[in-house]
Formats: sequence, C-alpha cells, structure tokens
Amino acid sequence: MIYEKYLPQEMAMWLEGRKEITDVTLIAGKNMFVVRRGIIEESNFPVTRAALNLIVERMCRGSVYASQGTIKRGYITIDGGSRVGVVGSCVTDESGKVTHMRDIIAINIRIAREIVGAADGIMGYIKEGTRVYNSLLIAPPSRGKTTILRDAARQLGDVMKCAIADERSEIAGCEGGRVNCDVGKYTVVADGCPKKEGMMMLLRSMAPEVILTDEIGGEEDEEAIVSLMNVGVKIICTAHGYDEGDVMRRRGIRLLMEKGVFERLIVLSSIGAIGEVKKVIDVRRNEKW
Amino acid sequence: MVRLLGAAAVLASSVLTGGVMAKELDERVKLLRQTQDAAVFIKSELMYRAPVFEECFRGRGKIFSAAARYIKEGQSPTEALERAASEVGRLTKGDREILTEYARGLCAEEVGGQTANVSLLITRLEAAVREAEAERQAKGRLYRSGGVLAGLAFVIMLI
Repeated sequence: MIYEKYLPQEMAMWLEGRKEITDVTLIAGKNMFVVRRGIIEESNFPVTRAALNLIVERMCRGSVYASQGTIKRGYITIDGGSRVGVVGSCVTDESGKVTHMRDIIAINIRIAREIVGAADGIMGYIKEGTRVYNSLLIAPPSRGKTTILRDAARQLGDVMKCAIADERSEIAGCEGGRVNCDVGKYTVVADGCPKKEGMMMLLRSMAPEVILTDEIGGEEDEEAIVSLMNVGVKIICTAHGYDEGDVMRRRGIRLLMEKGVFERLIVLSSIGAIGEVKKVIDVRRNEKW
Repeated sequence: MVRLLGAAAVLASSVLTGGVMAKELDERVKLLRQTQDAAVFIKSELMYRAPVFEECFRGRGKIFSAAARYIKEGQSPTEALERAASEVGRLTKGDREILTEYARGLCAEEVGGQTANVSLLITRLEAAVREAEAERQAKGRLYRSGGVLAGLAFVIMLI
C-alpha cells in the first residue's frame, strides 16, 4: 500500500485503519488530515518540514530533480498512478515561467481508484452501436469525473482504437513508462504532455477513433479539438462545473459549443452519490434526459 | 635441494609481493578511469533524460553499479554512493573523498544543480586519474623490480 511505502510508520498505520479515503494532506507545521466521504478528519500527527522533505524524496525515488518537470506544474505521480499535489516556493525565470519548485510546504495525496463499471450509467449516452458521440462530462471537483472517464476509456478501448491525452497522469496512472490503470486493450496514452500537444501527437501518430482527455476549458483545447473534428475523430472529455451554464462561461468550451462540436452533455450530480448522473442533454436534438 | 626449494619460495613470494603492490596501482588507475567515464555518461543522461539515480547509476562501472544496488535496497542516493565508494575497489582516502563530496551534492533539487555537481566530479576525477597514472609510472616498475631484487637478496643471504 502506498502509505507504508512513503509515509512514516505511525502515519501509515493510522491511515490503513481508515477506508474510503480520497485525499491525504500534509502541511508542514500542522497535523496530517484526510478527506473521507467528503468530510475532513484530522489526525494527531504533526508534520515536520524534515518529515515532509523525506516523504517527497521517497516519492521521487531519491531523485527530486527527476520529478521537477511535474513538480513545477504542481504534482508528482507515484506508484499505482496516484497523484500527489505539491505546493512550495516557485522559482521563475525572467519571463515569469516557473522553472522549478523548492521548499515544499504541503502535499496532497489523491488516491487513484479504479472502479470497473463506473461509466456504466453513461455508456448508453456516449455510444450507440458502433457510433460514438462527442461527449462532455460536467461536474464539480471530487464528483467522479476522472474515475468515470477512466472506465469509459476502458469500455471503449476494449472494442476500438482509443487514445488518452493524460496531461497530469491522472486518467491512466502512468508511472515509469507503465500504464497502471486498465484503460482498455486498444488504448494508447500520451502521458504528461500538455493536452493540446498530446491530442495533436496522438492524432498524427496513433490514428485513434476516439480521444479522451480530462478538464478542458482553455482556448488552446478548443483549437486541438476542432482539429480532431476535421478528421472525424471523436472526443470524450470532462470539464469542471455545476451544470452546462457554468461551463459555458469558459471561452474555449463556449467556442466548441458554438461550433456544434459536442453531441452529448452529461452533467453529474453535485450532491448525493459520487458519479450520479443528474441530466443528459442531446445538444443537436435539444433533448434532455 | 631443500635449500634450493626454500630459495625459490622466497624469491617467488618476494616477486609476487612486488607484483601485487604494482597491480594495486594499476587497479586504482583502472577504477578511477572507469568511474570518470561513468560520470561523463551520467552527466549526459541527466541533461537529456533526467532519470532517477538508480536507473542513472545502473551498469555504469563498479562503484556506481554498487550504489544503484544499494539505492534499490532502500538507501538514499547519498548513503548508497558513500557506501559504494568505501567498499568497492582500492581507492585512496583522497579518491573516496572526491566521491563522498559528490554524493553530498546529490540532494540538489533541479537538473542544473545535478549537472554542475557531476561536472565538478568529472574535473576532480580527471586530476585524480592523472595523479594515479603518475604514481603508477613512478612506482610500478620500482615495486616489480624491487620485488625481484629483494627476493634475490634474500636468496643470496640464505645461501
């Protein structure tokens, strides 16, 4: 289990006794706390700076420099595909671009969970027979978007050529060249690459039928997705938001909607069970389920 | 007959002793060169791929390969390399210090710091190789011929 591998023994034992943890947060100078079933639970283990540095070093396999590419973007991917968010003091160059991060102040371990069947409730809206619809999955944070997207990739990737543009290594959980999550037999993964470059790379080199990616919203995402449409590749992606009106505030998504890219909008519930579908909109026929 | 055998044994052991001492000088030069070549490769790996230390060190000469094994066993890169430097081969105290100082710089958090650290190691190893070769040139022949002559001297005294 990842706790034993990276955390001091007493912290690991405290965590092992608790099920359904989604996040473990360690802030230097404060007690470790977790999020279970949406509720914060605080431990009585203070996190020292030295302990935090040691944990980060273990997560980077003793080679923090080797992870600076992702650390400066705010995360490290560890064994099993779990993502560790990292914050600290950023060092920038003259143009303001972050070159690396030092003096890490806090980390947040997000436990990657594969739930086989998580996408069962939406597959009927995404795919009918051999036809796949360009779909956008909308939900606030921690409502299961990535878990459902991962399972959708698995189900589609077992029957057709799929590709995942996995910018933050959250969907497929790639680590050290290994794909740790089941994302389908015929699915390839562009790991750690910015979404736009990842999608274009996959389009040029892997000839996928469907591309899946997480958390779109920027204008650069719009350009890449329109390129996919032009060659007939289907797109399934996610976006943060409470409903379709919420995501339309983002220029990139608004442009995509105006160009008629998305055929299905699937909105997940912000209350109730994780992954529960609140409504599905057939954009072209303007129908709601 | 016994005397001859004894004389032969004395001569052989003296020659052997001289040979072993000379060989140690050869081994030191060889190990330092191997370590220097490994450091050059490691620098290039850091610059272009930045793999983790265990991968970077694996298969790169005796000292770095040993360090890779110790890292895999759970030691930190610094501890692993310090241990490898003290356990592998016949290095002088000065040679080990060069590696130990490099090991202490392994905690640098970005690639620039790591490549600067290994560049310094390469420079210091170059100097150590030159010094080791000069010592081998000066003393190697001396030990070998000294061993033969000492052996002959003992034989003459015994006879």
